[in-house]
Amino acid sequence: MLKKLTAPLAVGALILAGCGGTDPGGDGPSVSIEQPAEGDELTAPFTVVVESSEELGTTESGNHHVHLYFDGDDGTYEVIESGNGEEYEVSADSPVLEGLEPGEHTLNVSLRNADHSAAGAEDEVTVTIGDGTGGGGGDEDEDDGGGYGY
Amino acid sequence: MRTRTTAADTATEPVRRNSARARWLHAGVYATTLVLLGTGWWLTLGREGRPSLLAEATGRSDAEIHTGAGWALAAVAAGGALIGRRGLRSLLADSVRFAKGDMAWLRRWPAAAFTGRFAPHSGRFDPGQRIANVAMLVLLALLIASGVGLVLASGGTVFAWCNLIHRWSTYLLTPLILGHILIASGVLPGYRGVWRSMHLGGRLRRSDAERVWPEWTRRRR
Repeated sequence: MLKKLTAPLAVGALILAGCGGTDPGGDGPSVSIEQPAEGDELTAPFTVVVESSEELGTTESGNHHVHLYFDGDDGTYEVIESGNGEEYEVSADSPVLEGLEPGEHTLNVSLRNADHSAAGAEDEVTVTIGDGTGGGGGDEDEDDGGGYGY
Repeated sequence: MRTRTTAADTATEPVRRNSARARWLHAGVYATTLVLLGTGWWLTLGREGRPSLLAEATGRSDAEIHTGAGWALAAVAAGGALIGRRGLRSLLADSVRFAKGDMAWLRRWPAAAFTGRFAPHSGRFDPGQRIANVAMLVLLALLIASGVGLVLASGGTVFAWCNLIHRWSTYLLTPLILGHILIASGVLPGYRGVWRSMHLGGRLRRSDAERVWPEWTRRRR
């Protein structure tokens, strides 16, 4: 019984492994934060631009996506799944900003496979989260009302 | 000393419906499936990245919990199929069968769920249960297989297909499970007391068993 199952299972595993998200160039996938820059001061809503070697898309497409989070806390994150090098707006009610005190923080991005497992590429920049009166990290639609509205 | 047995005694006399092994397997399946449904719908409804109460309590993301619970369900299903293969065979045999009176039973079922006056049937499972058993087994198998495919593929075309199967199996299984919980909980008068068949020793009152599985109960005398 077990012998009968071994061959089809091995073939299936090989097919599935072959269809997995790997880097065709062999250098491994990459992701980088283009915006904001190191040391920028951000006030929600703000814009983030990431660049990746992989095509980004929804889970349904099977493409990679990017998790964005602060201070290494990858349990609370934004999902960037559309475009590559395009602007992505982090809104004031984003989960990543909940409980985040004004001050210096690390903005992390992690390239993820469609199943959310880490694809092995990360980047980070240090930014200052404003108290609602600071600059906007390149965003045109700044909120000058103070805080994040929660 | 002689003891007299009255009709009331007979009615409350317990009948064992399920073995300990079957109850443990059922508990393993529903514990993991409830976690999977909770985290799966949380992610599907666009809450990804916002930790659910379960994610906050465990310190893991909902996607990680979902994947872990998926492996646990796969292990429970594989272990159950291996250890309880005789039980599985009998579950399948007793579920994949059709009798002449099934349509009459199904026609009377919506009202009988409230009145308890079900049409007669002779099976270990009633016709509605048989349909639900087959549908749930097929959908759970599809969910486990497509879930394993999602993890193994990680991304790409195979992932996209597995994701499609996984989603649609979830859409179909969710109302079935909610209906199963509603019926099994005994909230509906026709199914009062049947929850005991899978809990606390698997024994239910003979009168409750006779109402839902009349022939099976008579065979248990």
